[in-house]
Amino acid sequence: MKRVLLFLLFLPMTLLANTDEWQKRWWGVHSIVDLHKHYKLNEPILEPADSVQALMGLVYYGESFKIYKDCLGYEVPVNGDVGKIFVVTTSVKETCESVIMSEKRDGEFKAKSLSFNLNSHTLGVMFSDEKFRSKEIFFNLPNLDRQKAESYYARSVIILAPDKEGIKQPHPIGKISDSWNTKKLKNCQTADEECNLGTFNCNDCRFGYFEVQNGCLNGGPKYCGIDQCGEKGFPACARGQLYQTGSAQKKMDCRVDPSFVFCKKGLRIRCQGSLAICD
Amino acid sequence: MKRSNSSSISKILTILTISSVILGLFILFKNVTPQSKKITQDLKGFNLLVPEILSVTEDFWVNAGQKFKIDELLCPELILPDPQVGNRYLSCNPIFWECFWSKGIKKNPMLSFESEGQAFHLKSVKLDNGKFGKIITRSSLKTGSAPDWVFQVKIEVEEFPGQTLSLGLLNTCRDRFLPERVYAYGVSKTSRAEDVFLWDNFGRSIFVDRFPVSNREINDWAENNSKYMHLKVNEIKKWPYPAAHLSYKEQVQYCAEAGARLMEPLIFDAASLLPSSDIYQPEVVTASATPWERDRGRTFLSNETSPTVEDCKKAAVKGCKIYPYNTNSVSWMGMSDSLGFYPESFRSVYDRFNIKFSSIFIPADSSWSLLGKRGIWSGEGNKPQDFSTGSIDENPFLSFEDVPVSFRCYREGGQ
Repeated sequence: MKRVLLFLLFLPMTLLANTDEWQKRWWGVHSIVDLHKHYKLNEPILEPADSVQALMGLVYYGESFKIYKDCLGYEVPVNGDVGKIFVVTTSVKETCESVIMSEKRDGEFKAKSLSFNLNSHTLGVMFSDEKFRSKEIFFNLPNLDRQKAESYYARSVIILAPDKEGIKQPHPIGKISDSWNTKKLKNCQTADEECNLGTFNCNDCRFGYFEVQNGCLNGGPKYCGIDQCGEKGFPACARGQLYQTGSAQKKMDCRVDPSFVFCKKGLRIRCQGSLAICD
Repeated sequence: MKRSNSSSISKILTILTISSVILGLFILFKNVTPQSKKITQDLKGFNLLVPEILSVTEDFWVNAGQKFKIDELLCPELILPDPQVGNRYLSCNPIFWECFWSKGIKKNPMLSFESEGQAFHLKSVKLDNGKFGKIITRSSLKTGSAPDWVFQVKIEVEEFPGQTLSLGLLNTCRDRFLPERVYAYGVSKTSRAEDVFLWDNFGRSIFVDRFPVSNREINDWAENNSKYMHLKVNEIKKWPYPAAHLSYKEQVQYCAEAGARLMEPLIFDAASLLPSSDIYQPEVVTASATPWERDRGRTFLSNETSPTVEDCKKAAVKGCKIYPYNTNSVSWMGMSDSLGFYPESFRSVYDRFNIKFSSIFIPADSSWSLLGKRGIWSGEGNKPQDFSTGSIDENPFLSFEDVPVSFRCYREGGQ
């Protein structure tokens, strides 16, 4: 009897200890990545039973400005059985899906059912415990709503989490001498002829990045380095969206109408495939 | 026997009645009395305070210029009283942070707030460098994805001994957002609207520096990069003033390492020329002559007389003093010193004109005291021969020995 009482007392304490530690690390979460493609907000996660699923990755800085990603995972139980909610900390360069089976978990607790909610500043985790008692935990993510595109630097304070050992860090990309002319540039976001953009890695550029105009409304390929658009031998400068969509097309072709870009006076626009270069 | 039984039953009933009344009163009392959540002295309690700690610290960091005056600070090794320097110098400034916490204002520096009826007191803790904060730049770190510039501090809540919160404070005070709309570039030589080059920034998040880059900011940069140590300015009095001793190449590098780009004339004009209408996509855009008035003829810039103190607040031209970190010559979107002050350098994208001549060296009624009018700088020195007009006009700096060239940066939001 005494053991049962101790167990019952210990269970909620373990749960709180874990989630308070998670909250301590997640105060500074500035982006949510790897969101599960199929699960919908507020809907119970029931399938696939007896599997381990990565729900999302929470990205934040540590005290020494190392960057971490906490992957929130769920062991989906077989009907009537007990599952587990857990966290695996990894590098931002790894996807949550690829690390979620790792045995190195940073806390876990049992749950018979689970659904989650996410808005601009809160992550809500709704679950029922082994005794079918419904519980809700809300994690405050105050740095998340301050990192929107229109407020690039609108936030003034970022919260730094305690550092962790053994998490691989991304290296800063590029040298100050890198230039379009030297062809030593690192591509930090690709863009194909159909205007499909690749993953945005330009935040790793050590000396900023610049975009090369290819006529796509959603932007062209981006490279780490100092912007020298408009100069001889360098990409042309963007004139703006109004000039991009003048002919009401999704994409303008440099070879047909280069009016969406400009070069320094006296230079002409040369088309290198779909890319506009000044000559 | 029967009697004793009935007496026991009545006793039990009495006890039950009293108990239920007490229980009822307890429940009633419990629901009526306002609840006060006692904040426990553990991680859970500390977590409850974090939003308040953030808000108090952010307010202190960002609004220092509104809350404190340079004259009242007692830390001459960091900040000197100077009536020309605006109090905005104190906002988002690591030097002010150090001054405040090392007792430069009061003997027991502290920030405080209340939560759930309890008072809490915040203190900045000294870091391993022996100071109350540490400047970290991306170029001084070996990891990618880090902020370009951040001031790292550690906050302790006096009532929670042992619990600290590490924060990174960013320089958001410097940024002014450039609204998305159609803009004009340069001075129109004719009055015809079609002569004005138009462009737009729809879909782009552009932030311009409110003030030119200061010597204090260059010092932060140089201290994190040994190859720029020669650019450091040691005189404390000069720290709030614009850095005007860098070459063009060094200006470009400073901005790049700050995750930004050297200001371009197109963006400078967009930030300083008065918009001709409230419409974001006007068919016609004409350039204004000054940041506060479209028609130059209606301003002091058309007079030969010396500028008054009020005139100098609009544009620091010849005969004016300079006032760093003030809202002088502030443009429609909040950029300061868009006309007058020091000559300012740009990365010229459209033509070869890469410097604003309008400054304290140029008379008010000069043709150079006009928005969008620029000259040419060699980018390598500050002697008169490093400047030219690009036309038959005479070099306006010929009579000066040394011409300071300030600069500022702009940032573009990512995805």
